[in-house]
Amino acid sequence: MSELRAVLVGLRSYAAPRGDDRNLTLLVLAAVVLAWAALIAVAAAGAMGGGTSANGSGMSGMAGMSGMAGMSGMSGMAGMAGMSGMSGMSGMGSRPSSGAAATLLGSGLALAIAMWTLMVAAMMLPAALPAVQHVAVNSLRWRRRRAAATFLVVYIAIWAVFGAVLIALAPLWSGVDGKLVLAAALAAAAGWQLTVHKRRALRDCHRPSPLPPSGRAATRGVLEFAWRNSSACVRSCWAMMLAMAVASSMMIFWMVAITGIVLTEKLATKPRQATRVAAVLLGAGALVTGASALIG
Amino acid sequence: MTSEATQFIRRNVWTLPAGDTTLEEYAEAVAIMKSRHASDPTSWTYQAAMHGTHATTSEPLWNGCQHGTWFFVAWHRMFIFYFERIVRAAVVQAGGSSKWALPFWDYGAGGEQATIPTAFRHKHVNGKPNPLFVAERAQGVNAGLALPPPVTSSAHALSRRRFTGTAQFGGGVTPAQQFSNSTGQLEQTPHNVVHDAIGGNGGWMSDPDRAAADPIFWLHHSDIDRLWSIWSSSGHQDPTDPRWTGQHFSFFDAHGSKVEKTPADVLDIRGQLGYTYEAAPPAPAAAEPPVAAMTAMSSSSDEEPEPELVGASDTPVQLVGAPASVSFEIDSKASQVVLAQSDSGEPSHVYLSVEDIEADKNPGTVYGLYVNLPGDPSPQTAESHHAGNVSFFGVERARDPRGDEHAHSLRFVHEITALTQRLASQGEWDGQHVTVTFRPFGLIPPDRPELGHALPQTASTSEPPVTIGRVSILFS
Repeated sequence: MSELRAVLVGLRSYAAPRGDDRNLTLLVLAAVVLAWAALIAVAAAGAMGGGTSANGSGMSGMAGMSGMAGMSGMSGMAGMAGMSGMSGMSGMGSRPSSGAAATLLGSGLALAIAMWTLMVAAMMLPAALPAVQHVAVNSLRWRRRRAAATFLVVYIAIWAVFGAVLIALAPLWSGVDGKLVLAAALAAAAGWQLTVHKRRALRDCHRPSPLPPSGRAATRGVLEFAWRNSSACVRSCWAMMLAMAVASSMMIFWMVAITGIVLTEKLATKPRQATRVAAVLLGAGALVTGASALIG
Repeated sequence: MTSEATQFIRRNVWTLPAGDTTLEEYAEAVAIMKSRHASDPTSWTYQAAMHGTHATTSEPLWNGCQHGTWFFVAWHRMFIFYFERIVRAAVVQAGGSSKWALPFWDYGAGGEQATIPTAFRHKHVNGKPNPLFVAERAQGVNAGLALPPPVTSSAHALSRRRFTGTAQFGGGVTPAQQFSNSTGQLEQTPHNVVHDAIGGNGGWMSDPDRAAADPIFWLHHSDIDRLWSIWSSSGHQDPTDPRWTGQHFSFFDAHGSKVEKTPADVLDIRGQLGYTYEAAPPAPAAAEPPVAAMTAMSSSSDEEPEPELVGASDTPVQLVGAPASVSFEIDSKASQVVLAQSDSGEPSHVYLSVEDIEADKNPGTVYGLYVNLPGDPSPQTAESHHAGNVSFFGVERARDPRGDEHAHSLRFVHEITALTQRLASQGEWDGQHVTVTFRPFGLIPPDRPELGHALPQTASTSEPPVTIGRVSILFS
C-alpha cells in the first residue's frame, strides 16, 4: 500500500510541478503526450494501411505513417516498432525493382529508428522526468534549459543506439513466428527482472553525480550524469524494450503495460515487490503469447 | 491510543539525585536483555537490529530506522517508547522500580554534562562486567573527554520555525524509508554529529547498523526526543499532512507482540504516551543568540519560495581528517533573478548546501563548516564564521541500502542568512566570493569549552576518505 502511495505521490508531482522547473516539466510531459498521440495515430492508420497494402496501393505513401505501416505488410502496428517493419521489408524486396528496394530500405531504416525513438520518448521519458528535474534544479537558472536539453539528448541518443543495434539484429529473428519471438523476449524480460543486475541498475537510476555550475565543467558534469543515468536505465529496461522491439501485435497494450512497469519501478521507494510483480506479469505474457503462437 | 494512567518522568542522567538507582536498574535490565535469545523481540540484539544490523538474515521489523526524512523524530520517539517499556519490564523482573523511565543525556548543557555519564565508561563495576560499557567508542570518550559545544548545541535546530522545508526542524517530505536525503536540522545537529563524535572511526555509535547496541544510544535519543517536545511545545507546528500523521510504523511491546503507531499517536507525550521530561531550562536557544534571533527575525512569511542555486564549487573536495577548503563565485546572473524579487536587494534567505557526499565508510569525524574563514584562525575567529556541521552518519547505507531501497548520496542544507548578514557587516561577505572550509572537531577537556572550534591535537590525514561532490549556495 505504501508503495502504491509513493508512486501516486510521485505522479502527483508530475501533475503539479513546483517552482521554476514547472515549464520544463510541462514541456517534457507535452513531448510524452505527443509521442503517444503519434504512436496511437500510427497504430490506427496502420490498421487501415495494412488493408491498402494488401491491394498494392500502400507503397506510394512511403513517407506517410500509413505507408510505413502498410509497408510492413504485417498487422497494423508492426511497422511502428521499426524492426518488424524491417522484417516486413525483407519479405517485400523482390516485388519492386532493386533500386527502389534500396531506397525503400534506406528510408525504412531511418523510419524504423525514428519510430523507435518516438516509442522511447513515449515510454521512457515519464520515468526519466525526475532526473531531468534534478539536472534543472541543480543548475544555475540561465543554464537550466541547456542542461536539461543536454541530458535529454544523451538519454534519447543512448536509447536510439540500443534501438539501432536491435534493428541491425532484426534479421536474426525475422524468419521465426513473430509471436514466438515476442514470447521469448517477454520470458527474457521476466527473467532479467529477477536478477541482481536489474536490481543494481535500478539503484543506479537514482544516484546523482556532482553538477559543476558553469563553463565546460558544467557541460561535462551533465554529460556524466546523463551517461550514468541513461546507461543504468538501459541496463534496467533493455529486456522489456527488446520485447517492444519484436512485438508485432497489440503494440499499444504492451506499450502501456511496460510503461506502467517502468514508471512504478522508478517511483516506488522499495521497488523489489514491483519488480517481482512485473516479472510475473511479463512471464504470464510470455506464456499466453507463446501458447497462442503454438495454437494459432 | 487511550491516555496512559501512569506518568513516567524521564530525568537528566547527569543530575539524578543521590542514591537514585535508575542507571543500576538500566544496567541490570540491559544484562537481562542481552541474555535473551536474539530471535526474542525483547532481546538486546533484536532491539538494536530494529534500528539497523549487519546481519544478513532478517527478522520481522529489522532495519527499520528512519533517517534523512520527516519521519525521523516520530519513528525514533516510537522506537525508544517501546524500548523503554521493554526495559521497564526487565527492571521489574529484576525487582526494580515499576516507575523506571529512560533518562536523557543533555550534552548540550556543556561542562561535565558534555561527557559520557560515568556509569557508561568503565569496563567493570564492582569487579563485574558493566553492561553499559562499550569499548567501541571514539578515543577519549570513555576517558571522560567532552563533546565540543558546536557539536552538542541544539540552538540552531530549536530556532527553526517550521517542521518541513529547506533546512527546517524536522526534515523534508519523503516516503518512509531507512535513509532518505532530506535531513532536518535536529537530525543534523545534535543528532548525527553526536552519533559520530561518540562512535568515531569504527565505533558502534557512528554506524547505524550497530549504534543501538551501545546503551548510550537510548539516552542520546531520549535527549533528541526531549528536544522535539521542547520545539513542539514552544509554539511550533508539527506536520498535519496525512502522509505524515497517518504513516504506520510497527514495533514490539514488552510482551514481544507487534504493535503499531502513527505519528499522530505520539504528538502529545504526556497525554498519549504517559511520560514527560524533567523540566528543562526554559530558553535553550539562548546558548547561541545571534543565529537564533536573527533567523527568527529574517523570516516572516510562512510560504517560502524554493531556494535557487546561485553558485557552486566545480571540483569535488576529499576529506581525510584534515581541514579542507573550497572556493567559488556566486553567479551574478543567477543571483540577480532572486534579488530582483526582494525589496531590500538582499536575499531573504541564504543556504549552504553540502551535496553529493559519498564514502565507502564513515570515518566518524565531525566537521564544522565555516564561511570565508581567514587562514590560521583562532578558535574565536572560527566560531564567528561557523555555519553548521556536517558528519556522515549513515553514508554507507545511503550508498548501499539494506534490503530494497534506492541508493543516493547524502546532502545537507544549512541556513546561513544570519551568518552572512553578520559577515557582511564586518566586510567579510560580499555576496560574490565564497570560501567554505571544513574543519574537524575533536573532543575537549570538559572545563575548556572555548576549545570547541580548535582543531584536534592529533588531526589525522589518513582517515577513510569522504568525497564532497559539490558545495553550493542557494538564495531565496
